[in-house]
Amino acid sequence: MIEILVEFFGSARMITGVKEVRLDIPTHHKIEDIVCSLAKRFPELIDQVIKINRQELQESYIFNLNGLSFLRNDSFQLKPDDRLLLFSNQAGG
Amino acid sequence: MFGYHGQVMVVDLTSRIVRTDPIPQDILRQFIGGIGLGTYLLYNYCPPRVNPLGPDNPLIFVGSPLIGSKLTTSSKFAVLAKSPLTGFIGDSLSSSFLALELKKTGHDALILIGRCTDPTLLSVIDGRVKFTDATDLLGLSTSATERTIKARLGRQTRIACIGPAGERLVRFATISNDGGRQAGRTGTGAVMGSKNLKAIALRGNINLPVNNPKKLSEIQRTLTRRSLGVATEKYRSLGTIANISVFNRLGTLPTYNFKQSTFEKAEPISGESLHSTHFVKNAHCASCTIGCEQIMSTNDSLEKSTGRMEYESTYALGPLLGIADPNTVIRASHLCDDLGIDTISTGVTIAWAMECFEKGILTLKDTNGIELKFGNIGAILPILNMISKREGIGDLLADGCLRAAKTVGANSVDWAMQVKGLEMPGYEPRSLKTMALGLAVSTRGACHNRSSAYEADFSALVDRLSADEVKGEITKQGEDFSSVLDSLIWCKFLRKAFQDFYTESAAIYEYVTGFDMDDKQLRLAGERINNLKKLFNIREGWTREDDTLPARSLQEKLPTSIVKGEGLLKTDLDIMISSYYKARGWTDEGLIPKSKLEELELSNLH
Repeated sequence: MIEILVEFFGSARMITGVKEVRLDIPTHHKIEDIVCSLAKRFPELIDQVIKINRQELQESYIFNLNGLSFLRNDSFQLKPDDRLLLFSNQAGG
Repeated sequence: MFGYHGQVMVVDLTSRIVRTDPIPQDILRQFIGGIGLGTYLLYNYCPPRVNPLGPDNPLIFVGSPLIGSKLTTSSKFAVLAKSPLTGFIGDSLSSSFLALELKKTGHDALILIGRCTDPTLLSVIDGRVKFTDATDLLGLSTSATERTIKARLGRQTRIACIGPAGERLVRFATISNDGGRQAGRTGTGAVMGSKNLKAIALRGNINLPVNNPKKLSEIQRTLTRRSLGVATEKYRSLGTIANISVFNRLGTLPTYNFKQSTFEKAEPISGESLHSTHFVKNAHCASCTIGCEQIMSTNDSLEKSTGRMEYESTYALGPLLGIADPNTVIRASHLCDDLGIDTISTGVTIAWAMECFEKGILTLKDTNGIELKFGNIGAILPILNMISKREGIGDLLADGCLRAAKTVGANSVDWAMQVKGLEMPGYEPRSLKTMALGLAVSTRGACHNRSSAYEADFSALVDRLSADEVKGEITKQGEDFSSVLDSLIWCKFLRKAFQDFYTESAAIYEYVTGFDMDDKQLRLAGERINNLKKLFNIREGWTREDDTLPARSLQEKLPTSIVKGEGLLKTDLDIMISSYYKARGWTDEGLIPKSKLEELELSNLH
């Protein structure tokens, strides 16, 4: 297992009441492992942020890695202390 | 006809002669409505090279085929004129009940030419056009103007008006309607002021049928359902102010006049914080089921100020000025609405002045004793009032940051954050490279909405820090998509509620108008509209040199956070611009070849 940090923005922060959370995820992981772990920790995110299958984010949400790259698929490998930012992909203003 | 009236009302304010001009069906189909039809009308009714603040510049209010259809977010209208800020096309959108009444006048657009001799209220009520002296309305805020006229003409009458800033030809003055909604960008309020027109009052009684009410009703229900789902969740829950904390974290929040892209004091003005400390309720436009508007109220001991808050106003009157006090930002935003000035242009112009003050180029003598320092919350409200009245330094700032910089000199144009004279929205181009291209090539100047290029940067589609040739095609596609949205007119916040935007929108267009339309034709209409915008600008003297970014964006690197060291070289921007021209099928000078004009059925206009 490795420990990463997930930062919440927008509704995810409003719903959970926290700005960030440390998560333990399998060393060899996929996005669904991270989402599943989040769903277990914060079931209140299910429906609005996480799909009810508990394995995928809603289409309107996205993970960003360390503020730089956006995660599209499973072709990534997180390192300990990486930061995942969770926010809406509805960017306009 | 279904969906359209097939005619526009032309009001000559000088002679007070009113006429109706027909609009051929093929033109309606080619340019759709809203910004598209408005661009066609501007191209045809605006003589080349007119003074934007002279009587010959037409002020055009345009409806759309979808208005009155009860489709969610469809009550929107466009305002166009040659911009007094840029000298190029000026186009802006607003929404709500005024759009419904505009359509019920029996015209697809209202074109105002000439100039009233005295301050005037123009009313078009149940087919009757009337000119009323508006001297007693002079100096009134936009909200007071609307209240006063409605008290006289009835609550169902809808008002478009200018505030004190429009009266004094502040070049970034807005046109306000329906309780503070603004046709905000490019200074159409100054054009209205130049015509001595304080307000327009509309009420109509002509309702148009649609071609296929059964099919339209089905899709209306579907869209409404989707508009209440995940596709609009952000806008309904926190609104666009949710951007503050995300943009700050990603290093894309322009701060201290774009000197950096993170704000160390952002927390109190983040959407999350404002929602817990200042939120009053959600509100929405007519015919809208999303309800993105976050009504916020001050909570200090001063006079209470309540109104809608959104990202751009918060960015421009907060981080950009180094201000983190929510009450000041809320109060300043609402004051801008009441004075009738665009919050983005206002904030960027004040930020330019603050940097001049910091560098000693402007002094206390110039600022009438105001300490115009970044972060000075006591400076903002007085400066806003001075701009709207063109008093003291307000007279300099009322012309926008580019003209002010040219007047002041001392290389201050280097930190006048604008493109083509239009001040920049809250997207840092050095850390959002697709957006950088979108800002540089936009026909109306530094605009985020006409390309929506930020969308690619906030996705896995591109590397947002890389200035590469991929960005050209993406920006072109974004502009064409936005033009279709802005012409039908859909609210941009509905865009993700479509499963196949072009196919569904084309079907809806057919259900409303009865005109044949498919996804390819709709895409082509978007491309056609963008090319006509460009044709207008070329006619007004545009050259490739106008497609650029401010010196700061091209010469300085970002100093903070994860994007520390990021910059954008002029040569890299030029590569992206060339890739955009290539995607458009234009020459490397950005001109439109004859073959492209023929392909888009625009050759007869050239």
